[in-house]
Amino acid sequence: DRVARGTMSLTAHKPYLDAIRKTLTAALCLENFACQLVERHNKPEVEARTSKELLLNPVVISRNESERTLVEGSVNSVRISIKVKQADDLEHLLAKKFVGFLTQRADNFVVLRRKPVEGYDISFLITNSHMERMYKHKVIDFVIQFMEEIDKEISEQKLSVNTRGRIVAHEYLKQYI
Amino acid sequence: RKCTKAGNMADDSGDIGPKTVPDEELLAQIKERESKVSSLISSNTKEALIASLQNPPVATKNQEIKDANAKIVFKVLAAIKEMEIKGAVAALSPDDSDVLMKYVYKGLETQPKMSPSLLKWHAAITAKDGLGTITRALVERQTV
Repeated sequence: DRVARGTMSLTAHKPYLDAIRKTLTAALCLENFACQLVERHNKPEVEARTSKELLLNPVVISRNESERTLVEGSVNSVRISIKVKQADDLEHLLAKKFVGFLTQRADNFVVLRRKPVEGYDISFLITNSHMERMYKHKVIDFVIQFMEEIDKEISEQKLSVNTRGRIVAHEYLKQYI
Repeated sequence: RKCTKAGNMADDSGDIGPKTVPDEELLAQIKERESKVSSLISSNTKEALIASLQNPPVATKNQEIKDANAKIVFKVLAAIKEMEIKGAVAALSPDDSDVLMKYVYKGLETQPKMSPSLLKWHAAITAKDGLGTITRALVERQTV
């Protein structure tokens, strides 16, 4: 049952993830661009937002009303924000904890942003220096795989929480039978 | 010394850049487009699509006008069945594909209910005209 559900959600995902992959391939054309206002400074323009001409149009790709991805580009950096599906309170809590766990270790992820953008659950910040060190298609693969995994993880955790709760309740209430 | 207006030399209008169309005229254009599209939608959806994508109000700053035009495009997109998407895209010129891609992104943002079909449109447009349509949707200042 769990395997069937996992594979079914992947195939439903595919147009959504394909669209995100293509949008990222177009948006991740980054070059080094020093700050225009302060000498010798080099900031990711999508975060600094100092000059309008350096920013691209932000684009949202939604799968349905509850899941969406925001891609904000600029000349030297791209910010990708994901809103994960949260059907009920339990998924809401699990998503929050899971995302919190990852963002605490954002240094190890390199491209992860410590705080998600307003209205979203988790954000990536990819800069030109990352693009110089890593393969673009691999970085995009990472982001897409991340999105698949996060859904899988949350549904697995939800299942295990419910199973454990059921077992514990069963054991406890046995004494009253 | 008085500053000469740019384009003064051979030009009669003394105006540089594209002509700015006043909002009322845009609204009139949209009404006309809407009636044209509504009549075509039942007979020839491909023609309806092409008609809805002509002359989008990109230059105006009035969000209501842009939304009004977007409504027409979304109506056409909703009327075209998933099997027909590929054929409809094949009939578009490259400029039309660019405009359509911008509306696809606008739809993904504002009409999440249409997402499944809009994602199919996205795939069809990039299959025909490549990533350039996406790049232009991201980069062009005057949005749809």
